[in-house]
Amino acid sequence: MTEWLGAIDHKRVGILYMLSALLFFLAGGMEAMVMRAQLAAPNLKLVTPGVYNQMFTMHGTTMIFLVAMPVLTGFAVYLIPLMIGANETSLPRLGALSFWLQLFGGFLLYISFATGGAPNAGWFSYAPLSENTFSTGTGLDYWALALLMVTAGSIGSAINLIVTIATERAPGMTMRLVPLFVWMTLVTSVMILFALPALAASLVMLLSDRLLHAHFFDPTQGGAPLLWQHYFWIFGHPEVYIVVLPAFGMISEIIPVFSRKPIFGYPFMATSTVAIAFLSYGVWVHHMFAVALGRNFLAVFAAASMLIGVPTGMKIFGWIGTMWGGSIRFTTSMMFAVAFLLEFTIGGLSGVAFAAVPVDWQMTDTYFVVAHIHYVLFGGTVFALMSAVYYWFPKMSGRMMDESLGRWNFWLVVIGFNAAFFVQHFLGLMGMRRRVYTYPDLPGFAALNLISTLGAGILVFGILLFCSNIGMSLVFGAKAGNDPWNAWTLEWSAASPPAIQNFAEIPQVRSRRPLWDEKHPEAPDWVLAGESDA
Amino acid sequence: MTRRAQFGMAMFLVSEGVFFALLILAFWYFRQRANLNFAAGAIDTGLLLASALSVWRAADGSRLWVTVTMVLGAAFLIGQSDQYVHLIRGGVTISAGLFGTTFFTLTGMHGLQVLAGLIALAVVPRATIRAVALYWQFLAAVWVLIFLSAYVWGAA
Amino acid sequence: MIAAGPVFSPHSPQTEAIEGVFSVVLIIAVVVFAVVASGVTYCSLRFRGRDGAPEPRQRFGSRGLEILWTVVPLLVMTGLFVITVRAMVTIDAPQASGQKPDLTVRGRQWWWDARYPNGAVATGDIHIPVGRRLLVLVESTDVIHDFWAPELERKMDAVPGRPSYIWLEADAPGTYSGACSEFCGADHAWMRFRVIAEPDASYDAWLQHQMEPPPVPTGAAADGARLFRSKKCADCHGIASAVTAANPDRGPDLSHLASRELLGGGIQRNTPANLTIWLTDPQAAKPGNHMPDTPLTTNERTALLAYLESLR
Repeated sequence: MTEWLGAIDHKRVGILYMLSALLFFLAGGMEAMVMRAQLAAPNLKLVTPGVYNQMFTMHGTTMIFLVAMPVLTGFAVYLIPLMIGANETSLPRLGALSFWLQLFGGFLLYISFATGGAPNAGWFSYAPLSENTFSTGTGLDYWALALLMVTAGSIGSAINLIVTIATERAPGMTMRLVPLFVWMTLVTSVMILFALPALAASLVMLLSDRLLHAHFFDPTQGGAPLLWQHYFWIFGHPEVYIVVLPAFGMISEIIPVFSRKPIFGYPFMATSTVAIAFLSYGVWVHHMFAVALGRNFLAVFAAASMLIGVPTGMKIFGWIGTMWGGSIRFTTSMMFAVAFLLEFTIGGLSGVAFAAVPVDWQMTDTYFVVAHIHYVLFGGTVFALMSAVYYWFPKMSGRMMDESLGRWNFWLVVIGFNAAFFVQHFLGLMGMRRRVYTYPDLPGFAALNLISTLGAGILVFGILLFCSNIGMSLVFGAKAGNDPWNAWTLEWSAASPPAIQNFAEIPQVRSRRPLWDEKHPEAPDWVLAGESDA
Repeated sequence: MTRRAQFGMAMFLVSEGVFFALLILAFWYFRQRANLNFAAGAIDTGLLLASALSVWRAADGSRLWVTVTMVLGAAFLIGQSDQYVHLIRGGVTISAGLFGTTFFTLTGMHGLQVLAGLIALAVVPRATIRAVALYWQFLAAVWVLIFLSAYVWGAA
Repeated sequence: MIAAGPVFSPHSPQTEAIEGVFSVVLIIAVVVFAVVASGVTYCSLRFRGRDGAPEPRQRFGSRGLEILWTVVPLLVMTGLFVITVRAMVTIDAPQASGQKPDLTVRGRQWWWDARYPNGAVATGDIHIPVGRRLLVLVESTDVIHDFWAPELERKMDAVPGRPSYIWLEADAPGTYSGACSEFCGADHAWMRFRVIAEPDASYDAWLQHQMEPPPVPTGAAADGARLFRSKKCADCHGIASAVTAANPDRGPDLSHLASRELLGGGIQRNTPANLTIWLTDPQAAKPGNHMPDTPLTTNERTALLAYLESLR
């Protein structure tokens, strides 16, 4: 136990991140179930509006900051050195410190339940509602302080990953040859450097207002509520790409292996990622389309928001191109990856709907948005994570997960997820607003909300099965060798789990798939790829 | 290790740059003015710039130059605190109006980081002084922007 | 069921324009999803491999395909952008310079009211003349709210300190629901309103009536009128031409309360029973709202109720 508390080894730190994220995932999930229970029928009184508002605030804050970011960081911290042929990250103590900062931030956030109430102004806490004229009590102060700690941890781990990728690559592994997960992690980490400080600045200003009675966002004293929105979304929009790009990286590793082909269009996959990163800093106002900011100003951001769909869409086609002509093995991991393609496409398309400003002028702040965000964040990021867990669990633990339990896990999650969230598109179109603790008995509202709640229940079962599979496989799983999937990147040449020193001998690399080259000396990648037209 | 530390520090300074840029932008956005003591501000600026030079000499690990930097940095903080006291006594507080709001938040965040830099200079091993020097020089550069914004452009 | 929703039953040129854009988006979405789903399904069925099968041909990409699936989406997005901007110009048509608003709509935790140029105030039910395009000023004096009547108009955030304008019109008489569409605190769920579009004659009559003082109260109602002041109701609640509230921002205007159908931000029918709940225990009527609990004896309550019921 104590060796885990003092762990510096990147593999230990990675697992700590994943365990912490799992814990908070269950907490965030419980918050979601309270909400869905309360919304199962109109005019229910299971919880008061005060409690409900804390639930949706904590759910969003937890899932983004204490689940999505940490678990993706955990995978990166675990896998990056292994993928680039290194034995450790460059700044391991910074890496460990970053984990503990994030964890303590999480505890600080949750302590607010016991000290007078959790924050209740939504995960993006608009001013002036977030000022202490309207949000009395300490909930929002805990929120801001907790997020400042989480931000520090995020920036710390991003620095560690950038320096590692830049300086620790195996000989021969130029940036054009690194696995796509490494590319996505690098781009994401750079995005963190530019986006998270915007959140920090916003939180500092909010705390100034709340604790020191400053007036940044107080319109009665000349302050500007919109300043909060601009600064928050300058962080917030890149943030949503920060939590999705690493998922894209995982899918880009998994689909090729189970299709038995290299990724289709590696240079475009990498370049489009950089394009997304740049564009993501130019779209933030699309979260503010309902504010009177001027038609021309909004149109510019509409154009940028539509534009960013192009490099994102091309990835979907690239993944399908990878499957095309392959010899596909439908392991549980692959099933989640394929489901990801469909779910994320739906989420991306509802996003395009919002880029069309007039549609946003009806659909923003309704359940249509809630559907959109869950399709991209759950159908996208979480599905990719489940795929990734089934894929890399053997490497991290030395055991295989159970495939038949995996099938049950998969179908319950897919059915539950779609039942819970697809109907929410309709609820939005029918006029149901988001962040309401109950709703009137208008035609269709009760039935669709009930379906959504039941779907969420099924989803919970699927998630419990997922957790059970992890737990049981750790103890009873079949032993996995180094390379159970016959894969091609360097992590599969290390032991399962890897020794403290990942590689006895740092390999020399000549292509994007070093293990393919070893297994196919008669047709190595650096010959094959040269013949191809990519 | 020192190359990695410097590289890591450079990355950290990117994020710090965004952080301060937004606080400075907020200061410009509200465009408030107040009667700041230009002479005192200029002296403090001079002290900090001098410390940026001395920390450059200190990057080689010389304890003397580290001490000089710390003394200059402490003098800067004392000068700033003195200005704070004068402003607060004069009714310009963080809660009195938008000038106080933006000025104290911006300079306060800067001052806290100078303090952190002082502590870092005192405790880090010689090998990492160069990385701390980068941080220190960054803070001096940010201060120049703050000085220009608040004392020069913002002069009443 | 979608057709039952307000987005697909527009009742103004603005919301019709929005429905048009949405239909285009829907078509694009269905086509793109069909393409992706077919691709995924086809690959999943056609290219299934067995364990031990030989490795397939290792293809690394195709510049031609990459260009195709970059250019085609780009063209689609460009088309969508053009449609978007045209609709924005229709919906947010420019105002004549110096044009005064035809009415001011204000959101306040947690009710909506409308102020008319002649001084009339209407809480909860916003009457407008049918068939006329009105310039509406949307404002808030506390937190950010959002004025949304989906059949009639686009959402517009009511940002304190930042007056915002929309065009509001209804193409047919009727009662159109709306609700606050930006989370604004405890009772955001219950911050509803209605826009009631009427032909000119009945609209003019209503507007005229809103300005008139209520009938002079007699009997129990007269006692109630006195209690209205002595129990400090008048601190927050104004009544047209009869009571000027000390702090009109703190409570909804009660002009002609008795002729209103709904109470409490559009959440309850206006019945004596429901009114009594507000007088007895405001938190039971709308948990979290800002109305303080004023202790009243049963007689006082009856008198106040009589007064409120007299406000036709």
